[in-house]
Amino acid sequence: MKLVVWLHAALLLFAVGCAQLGLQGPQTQPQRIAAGYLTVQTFAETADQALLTGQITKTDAKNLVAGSRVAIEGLDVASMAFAKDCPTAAPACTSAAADAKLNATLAALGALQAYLVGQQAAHAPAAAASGSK
Amino acid sequence: MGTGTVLAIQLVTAALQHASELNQLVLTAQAQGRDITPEELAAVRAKAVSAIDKLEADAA
Repeated sequence: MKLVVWLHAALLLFAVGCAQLGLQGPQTQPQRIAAGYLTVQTFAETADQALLTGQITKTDAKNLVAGSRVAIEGLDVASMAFAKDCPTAAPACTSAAADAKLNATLAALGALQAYLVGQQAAHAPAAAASGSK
Repeated sequence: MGTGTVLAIQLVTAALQHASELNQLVLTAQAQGRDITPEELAAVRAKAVSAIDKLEADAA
């Protein structure tokens, strides 16, 4: 259960841009897209650690790989939409299409995170038992 | 220290490093009077894809 709490705390920490540590959160669309890619990276690395420590199965990991690739594709589409609608990348320019795709992708990432947490919770007792041998 | 705690610490460390990385990108761009460039986005994307590739390889 502690792990679940820490996982949520860590991803929330990233989502709010570490404001309390003096780090600035993403504001423009390119910044939000970059934050999305970094979130996928954090997510994949965390899932890899969970796999290597036996907290999720290889099947879980394969599902997470597929979901992560879909998230990357979503961020790619958002990035292309922004490039199309804001070719000069003026700071005030926003793309409604990029925004919609970005929001949908971030929601999907949230669902993926919930899946990872669920799988870790399901396998935690087995991992704890094997770790105490 | 339990496996879960170790993983949790690694997770928080990774999240902080990546948030700091984004912050550095933003600050550098702002200092130059611009936003994050497509090339910088591509570099960030490449790291994410690399992390997914590693997860996929370990799951094979």
